[in-house]
Amino acid sequence: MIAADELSKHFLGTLAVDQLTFQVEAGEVYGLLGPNGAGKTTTLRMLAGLMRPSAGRATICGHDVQREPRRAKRSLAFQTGSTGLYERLTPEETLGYFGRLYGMEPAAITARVAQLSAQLGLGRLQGRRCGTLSTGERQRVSLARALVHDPPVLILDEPTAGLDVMASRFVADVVREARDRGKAILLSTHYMAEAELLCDRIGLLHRGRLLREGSPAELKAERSARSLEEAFLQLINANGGADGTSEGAGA
Amino acid sequence: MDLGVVGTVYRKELRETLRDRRTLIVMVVLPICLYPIVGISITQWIGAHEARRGEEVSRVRLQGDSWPGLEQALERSGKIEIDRTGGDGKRDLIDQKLDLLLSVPPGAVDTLAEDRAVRLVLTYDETRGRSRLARERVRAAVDKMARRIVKARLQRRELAPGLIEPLVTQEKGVSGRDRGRQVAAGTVPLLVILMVLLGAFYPAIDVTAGEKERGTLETLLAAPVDRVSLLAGKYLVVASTALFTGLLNMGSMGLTLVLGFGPALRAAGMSATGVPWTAVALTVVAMVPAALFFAATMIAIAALGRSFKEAQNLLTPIYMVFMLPALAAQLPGVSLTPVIALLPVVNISLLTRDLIAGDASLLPGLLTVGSVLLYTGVALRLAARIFESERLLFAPDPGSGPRRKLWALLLGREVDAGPRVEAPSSAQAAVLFMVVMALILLVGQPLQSRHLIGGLLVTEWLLIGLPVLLLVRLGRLHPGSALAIKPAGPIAVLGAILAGLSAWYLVGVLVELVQQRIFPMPEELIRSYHKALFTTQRSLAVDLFALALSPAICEELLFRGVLLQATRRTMSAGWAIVLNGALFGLFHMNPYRFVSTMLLGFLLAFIVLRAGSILPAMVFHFLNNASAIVAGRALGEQALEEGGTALSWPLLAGALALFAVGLTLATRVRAGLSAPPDRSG
Repeated sequence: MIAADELSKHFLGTLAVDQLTFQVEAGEVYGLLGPNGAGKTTTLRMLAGLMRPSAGRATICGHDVQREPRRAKRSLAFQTGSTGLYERLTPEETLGYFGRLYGMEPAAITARVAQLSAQLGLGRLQGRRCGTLSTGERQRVSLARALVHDPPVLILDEPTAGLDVMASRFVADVVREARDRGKAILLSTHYMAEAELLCDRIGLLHRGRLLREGSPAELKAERSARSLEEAFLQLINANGGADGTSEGAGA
Repeated sequence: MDLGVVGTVYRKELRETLRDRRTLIVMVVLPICLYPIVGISITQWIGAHEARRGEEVSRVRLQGDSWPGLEQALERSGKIEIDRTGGDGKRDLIDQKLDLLLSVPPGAVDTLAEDRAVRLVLTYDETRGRSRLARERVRAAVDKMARRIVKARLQRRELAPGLIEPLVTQEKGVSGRDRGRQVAAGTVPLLVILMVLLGAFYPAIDVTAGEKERGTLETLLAAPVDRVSLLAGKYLVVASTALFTGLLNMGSMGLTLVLGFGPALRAAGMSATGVPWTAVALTVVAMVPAALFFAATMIAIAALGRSFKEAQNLLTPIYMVFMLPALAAQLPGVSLTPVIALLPVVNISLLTRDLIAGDASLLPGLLTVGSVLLYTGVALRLAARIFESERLLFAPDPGSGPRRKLWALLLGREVDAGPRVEAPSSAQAAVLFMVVMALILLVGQPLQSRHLIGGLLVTEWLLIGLPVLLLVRLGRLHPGSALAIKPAGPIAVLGAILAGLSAWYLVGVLVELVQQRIFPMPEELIRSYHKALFTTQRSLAVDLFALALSPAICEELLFRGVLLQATRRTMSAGWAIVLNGALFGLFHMNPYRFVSTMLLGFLLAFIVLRAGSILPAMVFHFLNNASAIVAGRALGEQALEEGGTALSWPLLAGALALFAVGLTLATRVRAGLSAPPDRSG
C-alpha cells in the first residue's frame, strides 16, 4: 500500500534521507523510529507528495506520488506533527472544507462528518471555533480532518507529540481500529514505548538511513536487549554515535 | 486550474477573513468611522468661524460731531451697532464694552460740502479679535461711503467715473472645472491607494505565512488539488478584501460629503456642485486593477514569511514604498503620459486623480490598466513559484553567507552584528545635541532669516540629519536600535495617522485656553509667524516638504532616535519621556512655543517607546505639521483676525475622540501583533 523505493532527499548539500526503502501493507502499523533530525518528517513529506524526492520513488496504493499526485493523495490521509487547525473555523467547517478539497459530494460529507463525530466524540465541540479547543480536542478534530475522505492509507507524523496520557491512548485506539479495518498506517515517533506498543513493524532511522527493520520483538532479540530503547541505543552507537544534527531541515 | 477548488478555497478563506477582528477593523470599522468624524469636525470648525464672523455685531461708538449720514452708512452694513451711550470711550474699549471708537472731527459735514477731506480716527484694541473685526467692518463701510461721495462730486462737475478709476478688472475662469472636484482629485487617490493597501495587508499575511505558522499549510498541500488553484482562491480573497475596503472608504467618503461635508466645502470657497457620480463610478473601475495589483504583490511577498511576524516585517516596507508613489496625484504638473502610465502605483494614483478631475484621456488610461494587469500577472507568477517551492514553504534555512544577511535584512532577524554598538551612550547624545544646537544658532537661524524655506531645509537635513547619520556611522552604531528604525505594524502607523491629524488642534486649543491667558504671545509675533508660515504664495508641496516632511524625518532621528534611545538606557521610561519633551521644547528656541512643542515631544517619545519603532512618530510628526499648515493656509487671515484656534466644542470632542483612538492604536497594537496567534500542538 505504501512503498518507498530508494528514496533520497538532499537539502543544500546535506543528505536528509539516504536511499530509503520499505513497504507498509494493508492492516499493518509501521513505525519510523529515530531521533530528532533523523529524516522522519522529510520521508513522510515525500510520501505525502509535499516534497519532491531527489532520487527514488514513492508510491501509494500503486500510484506514483510524483507522476499521479492527485490519485496518490486521494488514497492518503496525512496528519502533521502540529495539530494545526484553522482557528476561526468550527470543526464541522474544517471537515467540510477538506471534504470538498478531496472531491467529496456534499451528501457524502454530511454522512461522513456524522460518522466521525460519533466515532471521535466531536459532538460536544459543535459550533465552537477551533481556536477555543483544548489540545486533546484539537487532536480529535485533526484526526477527523485527516480521515474525512476515509482513505486506505494513513500517514501520521508524531501523532501523540505533546498529548497527555488520555489523549495519547485515544489516538492509539483510533490507529488500532483503523488497522483492524484494513488500513495501511505509517507513523513516525521518537517515543520508544509507544512504538513498541502500537507498531507491528518498526524501521529504525538514523541520519537518513534505515538501520534496521523488524517487529519490536525481532529488534530486541537481535541485540539481546530488554527494551526497544536499549536496542535502539546500541544500534546507533554501532553506527557512529548519536550526532544526528547535521541532518538539517528534517524535523 | 480547477475552478471548483478555487471556489472552495475562496469561500473558506473569505469566511475566515470576515471572522478576523484585525481585518474587520481595517476593512469596515475604520472607513465607517473615520470620514464622518473628520468631516463633521471640519464642518464644525469652519462653521464656528463662519458663525463668529456672521453673528457677532460690532459695537461702535461715535464721538464728536453728530453726523447722521455716517451713522446710516455704518448701520447699513448690518453688522455694526451704534452705541449711543456716552462715557470714557477708551476705558470702555479696554473693558470690552465697546469694540471701536470712531472720532468725527468738528465741522465734518461742512468740510465735506467744501469738497475737502475729513479725517476719521478709529480707536480699537488691536489685541482683541472682535475689535480688529470691528475695524475691518467700519473701514469697509467708510470706504463704501467715500466712493458714493466721490461719485456725487464727479457728477456735479459732469465728469465720468473713469476719470478717477481708469483701470477696471474683471476675472473669468475658463476651465469650467469645479474647485471642490480639483481638491478631491488631489487627495482621494492617496486615500484610495492607502486604504486598498491596508485592506490587503492582513488577509495577505493570514492566507500565506499565517497558514505556515499555524501548521495548516502542510495538511492543505497534502490534499489532491493543484497549488495554483489554492493560490488563486487565496489571492481572490485578498483582492476582494482590498477592493471592498476601497469601496467602503469611497462610500463613506462620498456619504460624508453629501450629508455633512458639502457645506464645509462651499464655505471654504470650493463650490461642490454635487457629487460627480460618473467620476465616482470611474474611480471604482480604476480601483479594481489597483486591488488586483496590490493583492498580488502583497500575497507574493507575504508568502516568503515563515510566520505572521516575519511576513509583517516583509510587508511593512512594501507598504511604505507604495505610499510614496501614491503621493504623485498631489504633485502639480505631473501628468499621466504614456510613459508614466507604465510606472506602477504612480499610474494608478494619477489615473484616479484624472478620473475624479474629469480630464482622463483614453490612451494613458488604457496603458495604465494594461500595465497594472501585466504587473499583477508577474507578481502572481512569482507567488505561484513560491507556492510551488518546497524550500520556501517548509521552513527555509536561510543558508549562510550573503544570503543569510539578505534574509536577516529582509526579515528583520538579527544579523551577525560584529562589534556594532546597540545604542548611543548618553555622552554621545549630549554632545550631538549641543553640536546641533550650536549649528542651528550659528548657521541655521541666520539662513532662515534670509530665506525661510531654504534655511529650514539646510537646518533640517544638513545641520540635524547629517550629524545624526555621522554619529551612527562613526560611532559604529546599529541603526536599527540606535535610531529605533524598525518596522512598525500598520495599525500602529494608522494610530499615528489619526493622532497626528488631531493633535495639532488639541495643542492649539490648549495654548489658546491656557497659555494665552498666562503667558500670551505678542500680537506682532503671532502675525509674523502666520505671515511666514501660512502664506499661499509658496506651493503647498514645497511647504509640506520643508515644514512637515523634513522635520518629521530629521528631528525624529535626533530626538526620538539618538536622544531617546540613549537616555532610555540610563533612566526610566517616564524620565526619558520628560527629558525628551523638554529638550524638544528647548530646541525650538521660542519661549512662547516651549510648552506646546514640549507636549508634542512627550507624545512622540511615548509613542516610540511603546511602538518600539520611530516610524509612527515620523508619521505623527509629519501629519501634525502638515495639518497645521493646511489649516493655517485654508483659514489664512481669518484665523489671525479671530485670534488663534477657534474653539468649538463638537470639533474639540471630535479631535479628542480621533486622538484617543489614534494614540491607543499607536501605543498598544504592536504588542498584540508581535505575539503570534495561539499555537498549541
